[in-house]
Amino acid sequence: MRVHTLRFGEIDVPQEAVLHFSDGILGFPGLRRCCLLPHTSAAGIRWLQSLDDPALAFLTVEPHLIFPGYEIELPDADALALDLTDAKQAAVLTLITISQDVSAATANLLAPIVINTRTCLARQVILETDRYLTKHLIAHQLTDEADAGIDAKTR
Amino acid sequence: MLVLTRKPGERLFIGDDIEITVVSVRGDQVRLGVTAPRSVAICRSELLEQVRQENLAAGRFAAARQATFARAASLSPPPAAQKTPARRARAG
Repeated sequence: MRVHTLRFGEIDVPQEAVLHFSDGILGFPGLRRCCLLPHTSAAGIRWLQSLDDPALAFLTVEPHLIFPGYEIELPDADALALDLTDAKQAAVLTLITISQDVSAATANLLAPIVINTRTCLARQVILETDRYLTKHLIAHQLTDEADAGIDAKTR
Repeated sequence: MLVLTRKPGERLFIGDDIEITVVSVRGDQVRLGVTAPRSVAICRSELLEQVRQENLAAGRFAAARQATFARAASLSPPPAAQKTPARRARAG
């Protein structure tokens, strides 16, 4: 399917790459279909682009890259909703929030996005733990490569 | 809203299969036990609001900052992360 996006222009998204958020996410109840777009240079960072709202995209990071001990226990209700029976079929991403100061970027480890890679069902999961917060500073894991020619629009 | 008075140890049912027990009352804190089917998500309301606010901050209203961040930053995984296999989510 061809989709118009604010950040990436027209993109072509194969049907099998569409992620289905059947319940939306908190704050964006209308979020239904998304796709992941790679960041052109930063490994582990991808855009979660809404396919229904051209302006809506989230930056995501694979949590184990910045928090090596990160581990989640999926609540039963979420495992059922995702039709997940095998942990090997799960992919986990965390949403990045950029504040005024880019060096104060944070990752939401409390409420990761969990994807069933077999069915492409996806949802945001609120973990039943007090180990993680919605804001974990990630700036110390980032290196400044402003001149590396990163351009998200090259795709 | 239906308001009920219960004592510690007493229970109430919501429908056939959701059972709430007042475990204890101490000062201004009430401990509740919830027995519910696996398909029922149980979450403290303040957490829902916290996640909602964080999502809003991460999404639509941050477009300009996202672009700045994307241009300026790249990830450098800590050495340990490259040797240790990524841990996986435990499902079910």
